[in-house]
Amino acid sequence: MNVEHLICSPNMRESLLFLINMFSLSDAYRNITLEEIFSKVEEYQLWNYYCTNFREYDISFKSELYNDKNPSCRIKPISNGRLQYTDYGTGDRYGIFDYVSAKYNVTFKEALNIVSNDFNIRSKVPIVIDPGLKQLNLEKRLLIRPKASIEIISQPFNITDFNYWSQYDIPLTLLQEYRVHSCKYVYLTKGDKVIRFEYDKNNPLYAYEFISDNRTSYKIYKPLEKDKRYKWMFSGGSQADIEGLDQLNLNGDVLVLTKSLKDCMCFRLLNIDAISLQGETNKLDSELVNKLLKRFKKIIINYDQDEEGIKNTLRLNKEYSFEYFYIDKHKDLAEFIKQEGLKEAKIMINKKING
Amino acid sequence: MSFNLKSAPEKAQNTGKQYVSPGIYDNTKVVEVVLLETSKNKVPYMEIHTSGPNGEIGKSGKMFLSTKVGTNEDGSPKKMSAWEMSSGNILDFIQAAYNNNREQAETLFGEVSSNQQVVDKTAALLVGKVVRAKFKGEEGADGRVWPSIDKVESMSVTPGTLRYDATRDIKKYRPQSNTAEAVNADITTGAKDGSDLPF
Repeated sequence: MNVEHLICSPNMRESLLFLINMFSLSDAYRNITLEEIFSKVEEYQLWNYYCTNFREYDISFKSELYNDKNPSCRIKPISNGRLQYTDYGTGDRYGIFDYVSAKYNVTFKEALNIVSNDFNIRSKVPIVIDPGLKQLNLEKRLLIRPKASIEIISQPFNITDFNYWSQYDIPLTLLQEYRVHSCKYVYLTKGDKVIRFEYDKNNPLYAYEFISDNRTSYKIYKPLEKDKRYKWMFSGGSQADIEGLDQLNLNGDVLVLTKSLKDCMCFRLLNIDAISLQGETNKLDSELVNKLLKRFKKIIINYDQDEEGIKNTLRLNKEYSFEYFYIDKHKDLAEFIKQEGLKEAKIMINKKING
Repeated sequence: MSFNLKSAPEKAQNTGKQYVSPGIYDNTKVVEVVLLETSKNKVPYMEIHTSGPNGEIGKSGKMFLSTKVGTNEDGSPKKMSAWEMSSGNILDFIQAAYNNNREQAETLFGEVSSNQQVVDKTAALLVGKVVRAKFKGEEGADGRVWPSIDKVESMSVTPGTLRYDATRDIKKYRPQSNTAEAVNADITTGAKDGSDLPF
């Protein structure tokens, strides 16, 4: 029936139009479901579409959710057959719709709608998404990258600490001098996430303390940790934090540039001054080199004899013409002391430095 | 799976910690130094915990850390502060652990500025070190004897300085007289038919 052609008052016609258009349930809004989406499109396709940097299963790529400097993310199948995104840098884990939510800063339901719209899954009730909105939110997120911070609850050294460090002949008093703390708890805060690590006699926790410009930062070391993500944790520190620098003698004949604070302490046991950068790949500041060369007659490099160690030894040798040596039989001085003893280490290092 | 008591041993096994008995022991190792508080008044004190060659647990007496000189009951000032007493004990431990003299021990300890730093420094110096220790004992109301370190000496010196005599070095339990009176009073004032018993 065409109401428009009825002969009746305008008011009545309006009421009739209203009645005819009401009470019909056929077009009622229905939320899209996960099942509907997965029946139309493969999960892999979704990851490929929304996770721009993803190329292959279980191959690391950089996060697009913040200014990721290293490839720290992977996507791989988990036990329920679904794919999971893991960011090993932040500890974040996402399913595909959580990821879309995080990427566009929308709710889970909105994420479902975005996917259904992008893949035209419910053409009957198209959902209009402002194309500019996605980009805008993403740009905002790129600017806000939560910085991790570390707080520690230290404790007096105990027999577990003694047993661990005495393998390398490092006395607890030397740890104190180098501002190494035994930690009862470590709190790692990133954004609104707080992870608490607790000391265990089978998995002790240590904090290396750095103070620069009245600012304290920590580098956390869990020497017996099996999960490599948590063996070392950093926050607030910078490349300018040189390990062992504050503990150097005022001047001397030789300064060894080594690759860890543990090795700095081992060199100290042999009465040799040593410093370490935060990592073998870090650059050595020329201003610092000039200052150190006013205090020490020469600087000698002692990095690990592996691919990375050799590469960076040669880089520094080329840049500054520093002499260098590698430890015999073992990867570093600490390991040499552990396996061969302090006395042998003294003989070996003396030969390396004095010929 | 079913549970019954048939497999239980004749006598319950003691799974608790084994404490050292009073006496003199070689190779007593310092395993921990802790900062604690008295339950009443929350007065901070330090304790040194040790382990014997077979894992027997031992500990020092309470080493109070207050540097204030307190007063006696009659209001007169005490001869020394709690810290002066405790620092002597700490020095003894350092001298025994490092086989050095008082001056060297003082230099090793240096100076610190808080209770926590005293504990941290003492732990760094002593944990893992071994000494020869004399444990004295104090008998509790239940007849158990609670050991605590009385004196220590270096493992490098010939044994002989430390002497142990059970008759002198174990303090016998003596109930306080007012406590005994209170107990008697409770007995005599209790209801004769036992209606005030909690069971």
